[in-house]
Amino acid sequence: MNDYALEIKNLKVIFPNEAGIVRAVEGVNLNLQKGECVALVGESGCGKSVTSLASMNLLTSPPAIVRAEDIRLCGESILGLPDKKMQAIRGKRISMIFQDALSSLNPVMTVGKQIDEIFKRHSKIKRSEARRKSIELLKLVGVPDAETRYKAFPHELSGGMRQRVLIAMAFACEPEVIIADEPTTALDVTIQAQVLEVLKNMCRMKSTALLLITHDLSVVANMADRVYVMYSGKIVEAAETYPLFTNPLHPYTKGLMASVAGIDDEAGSTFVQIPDTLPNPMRKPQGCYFNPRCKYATEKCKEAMPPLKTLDNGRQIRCWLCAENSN
Amino acid sequence: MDKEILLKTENLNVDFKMKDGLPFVKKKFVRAVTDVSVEIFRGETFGLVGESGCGKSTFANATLGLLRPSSGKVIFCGKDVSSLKGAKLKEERRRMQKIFQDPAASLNPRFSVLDIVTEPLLIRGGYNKEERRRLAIEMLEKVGLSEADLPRSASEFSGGQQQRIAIARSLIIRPEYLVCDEPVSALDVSVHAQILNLLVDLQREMGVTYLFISHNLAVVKKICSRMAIMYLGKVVEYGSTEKIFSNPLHPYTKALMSAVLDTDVTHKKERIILKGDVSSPVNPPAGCRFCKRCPVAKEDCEKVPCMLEEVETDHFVACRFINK
Repeated sequence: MNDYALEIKNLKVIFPNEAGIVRAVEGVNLNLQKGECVALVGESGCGKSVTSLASMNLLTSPPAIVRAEDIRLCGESILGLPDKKMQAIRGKRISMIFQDALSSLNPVMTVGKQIDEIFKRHSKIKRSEARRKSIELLKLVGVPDAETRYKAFPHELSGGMRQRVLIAMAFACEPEVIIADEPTTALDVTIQAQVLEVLKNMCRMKSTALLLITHDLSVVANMADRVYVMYSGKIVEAAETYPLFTNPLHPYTKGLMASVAGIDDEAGSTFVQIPDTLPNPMRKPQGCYFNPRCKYATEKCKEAMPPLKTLDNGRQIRCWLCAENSN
Repeated sequence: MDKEILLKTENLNVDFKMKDGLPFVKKKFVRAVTDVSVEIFRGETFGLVGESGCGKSTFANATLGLLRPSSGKVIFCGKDVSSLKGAKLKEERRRMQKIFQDPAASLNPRFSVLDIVTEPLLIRGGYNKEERRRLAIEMLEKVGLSEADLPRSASEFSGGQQQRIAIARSLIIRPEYLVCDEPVSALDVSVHAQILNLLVDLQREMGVTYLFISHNLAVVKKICSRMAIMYLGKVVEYGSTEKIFSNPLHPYTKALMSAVLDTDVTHKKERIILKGDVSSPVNPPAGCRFCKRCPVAKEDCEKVPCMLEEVETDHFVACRFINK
């Protein structure tokens, strides 16, 4: 028996519409060990959020059609569970933190009430006990003056505070897995640093597995233990953070890393760019999806999609060239 | 130094009166921009950095004559723009343009690309249809689009291409001064580099001066020759980008720089993590505005006003512990 906190096997999500079929996720395999922080990186529209929503059974069907071999939470299959059962799991054993805290909080309810609600929903405790626990949580995530903030409405808090409240809510029932979808994209740099620190400490303290969905590679470098790079619905590279950042193999990963401007870069140097943009999900190119933007593309790349190959050191890569070179 | 000053502000203040309040009660003001005096030279890229709500965009709008300053002057090419009105202001504004953060929201979805790009020419007047079309094609080619895109509507394009259209629109009347208000923040990471390189190339070709507003310090370091860092409406550090990055002096600048995450996994940096949030710009303290979050603040920082002082050539800092 392995001790995966979350295991996604061969997940496929499609959205049919009048103009054609959008293949948002095409056979993604992903796993999280207990207490591990794994990042899922990619550009907008590459299917990272859809992957997370599908694994929490949050996509409405229709329009979405979700197929998977299995989705397991700590060894138990949660694929295709009825809504009632799924509701008992969401928030208690797996929870989510969203990008825009203002729109994921109820504007007409105090934040304290909203945290209490989670306790009420998942455990049979008294109201006064729930209140005590909520205030304790707010203190844990670094909300100053937690007793007064407990009675505050979301609009009375700043962006960073609201994000902390969301983190507190996600950790309320001490779930095994937390999925954080772009948790700091809407925040300023100095606040981003604070919030990431809180998230990191909370995960370490409660040994929660964190699936971090982001497009910001610098956040990944500072938070994640392992990284999956996604492109146009497929995983193109998976590796541990250190080897991935010191030696990216896939041309797309290389391009992404190079295009991030670093603060230690020389002034006046030009920005490294990946030409063109993500392909239209309804008209994906033949062969490797990255081939029209890849400067190393060969004839073979234009004909067939390379398989996701596991190298000797455990890294996975989907590229004809890299797979050959390493052998 | 024989650099020509294109735009200069002198003790620029922009206040917004708050609506609520009872009669006879002292009115509250949001001091969005306070005592900002900077000089922007012709042909350079001037970076403006700060957290949201610190007054970057308000400052930019005041320099464009879109907001009337409460006091102080904006001098553009030797003329005081802030006191101009009506036709005269319009005349000056032809030499300035702005591009926005979200290209999708700044382009009319019902217009074709031709309509969008030629609209500034129509407003200026004096061009016939043929000329407008010819200029539009010329401009589109410069930003990496083609004649075939003219009849398409803006919503058919991707974010990066939409930003290219917005750039073409703003540069078609050959402005001297272009405000870029977070031009890449709404775009994908892999597209950032394309747009930034385009802006750099266009500047080299057309000699336009940029006021580049950003919260990404790494980008500012790469493309700006001079910069200002703002906190709650005041400039805390100002001068040559090279000097500020090699020798950041203000505690806020230091914190801001250390908060920038990078992709370097080989060695971990020691970070200064600031406590608390940006305080409210309503009736701010008379002294240093950063005092509530400042790691080195003393008790009287709140009261003693601190002014920008030159510590070395083209490097100004507003902190009493650094100024001699």
